[in-house]
Amino acid sequence: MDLSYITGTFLRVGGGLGTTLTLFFVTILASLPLGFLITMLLRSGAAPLRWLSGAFVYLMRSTPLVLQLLFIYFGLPYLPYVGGYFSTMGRFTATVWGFVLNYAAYFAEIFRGGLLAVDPGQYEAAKVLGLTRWQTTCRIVLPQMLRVAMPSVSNETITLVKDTSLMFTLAVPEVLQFAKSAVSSTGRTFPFVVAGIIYLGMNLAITWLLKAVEKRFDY
Amino acid sequence: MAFLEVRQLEKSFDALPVLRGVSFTVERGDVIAVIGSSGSGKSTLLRCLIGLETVDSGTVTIDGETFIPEGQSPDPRRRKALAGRMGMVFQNFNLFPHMTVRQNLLEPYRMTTPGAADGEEKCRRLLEKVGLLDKADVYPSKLSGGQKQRVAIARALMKSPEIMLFDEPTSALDPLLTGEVLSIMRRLAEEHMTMLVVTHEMSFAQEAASRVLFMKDGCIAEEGPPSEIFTRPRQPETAAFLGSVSRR
Ligand SMILES: Nc1ncnc2c1ncn2[C@@H]1O[C@H](COP(=O)(O)OP(=O)(O)OP(=O)(O)O)[C@@H](O)[C@H]1O
Ligand SMILES: [Mg+2]
Repeated sequence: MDLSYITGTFLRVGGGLGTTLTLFFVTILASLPLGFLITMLLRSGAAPLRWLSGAFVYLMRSTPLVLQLLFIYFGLPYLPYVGGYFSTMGRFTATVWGFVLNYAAYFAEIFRGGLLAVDPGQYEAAKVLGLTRWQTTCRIVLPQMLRVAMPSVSNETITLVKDTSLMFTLAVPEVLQFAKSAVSSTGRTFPFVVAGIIYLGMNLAITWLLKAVEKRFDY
Repeated sequence: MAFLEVRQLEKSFDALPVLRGVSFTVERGDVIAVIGSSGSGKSTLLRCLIGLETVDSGTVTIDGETFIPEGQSPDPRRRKALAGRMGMVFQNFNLFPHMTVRQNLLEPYRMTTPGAADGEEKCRRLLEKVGLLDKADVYPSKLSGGQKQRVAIARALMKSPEIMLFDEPTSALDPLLTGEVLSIMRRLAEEHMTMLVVTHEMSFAQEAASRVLFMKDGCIAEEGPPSEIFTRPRQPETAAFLGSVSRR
């Protein structure tokens, strides 16, 4: 195994890195705020909103992500009446939808737990000081909720890095897909090792970043 | 017309009547001690005054302006005006743990009075007043209970309220730490701050209050200057209550 083979394999498997990273960042950036929105719906005063958001979270957390991806890409186009709208959806787009909805449900549950940890006295103090509901939510409740939720959010984020490999299900060319085709075309194991190293590297960077974020909540 | 007028306040939780027609008046600079046994409705009274609870009926008027008109809860605009005129100090401090002492004072002030330039100066003056200027950049988790409560008092004073409500401000404190909080409240009283203080500190009520309200079962059973209430109460319930607390 010479150096040029090693770098060649890294380059070949790394060709999927763009797709993998895109999915990761789009999912994180979209599912965190969407998750908080769902948390608000879970606690809404209107029973139908509570019921709908509760059902959504249950559905997303209780069925396999792989099934959800298959359902979105292969299942939706066969739906009566509306199926036509989905028939032109690309594989990557379908994957992104699946990931964003799935992770939003998990984040919603994490945030809901974090909100329970905020002392009711905090809302009362904010109220007698004359803060609006919006100010109370954004400036008083959110920062305290995030502190509690941060370790679980970190966990999910690291899981997400690994879950990006589920794009495999819809045959979207990402890191794992490239590694597998390299293994079958060259008959060597090494591309899988390279894929592993790439995931390790991504999670090392992300763990380090999350630690820095968690430090900011240290009070 | 009195500065603060409370008329026939009633409030029930589900079927449980907690305030049953509470009426009293407060003049500017009065220090009212509210005493009474547990569950008599003292906290609920303060919470209704500042709008943390909605009342079932009754009116509250401050300086001739009606804030709670006949049993309706104040609308958002009135609420904001009310928050500007009344400050409240809780038993459990309720400081914002993610903000430093300075931010606890400044941030709410800036949020509610955008554009005000006197925040820093006010914050410095108030922290000096409660003797915590050196703790300005510390998080509440690093403070003792007494220090936390002094910060909470300073925070409530930021918007220069005309009335301060205290709900058992020293009850969560180690007995050794109540003195530092009470002495700040005494100073406020000397500066003629209008105060309503729910307290089990009978010595504070006796020395610092201009009037004492004794509550029993959601009513004001007796009221008067501390010299009368503490030495010759007219109601047998008052005498019984004072007897029970002095024996503790
Ligand atoms: N949010 C609530 N829901 C239901 N009941 C309540 C609520 N708040 C207070 N109560 C009831 O109202 C009654 C009066 O409570 P309140 O807290 O005003 O008493 P208190 O005089 O302040 O007593 P303490 O000295 O123990 O603080 C109590 O019986 C209490 O259980
Ligand atoms: Mg109470």
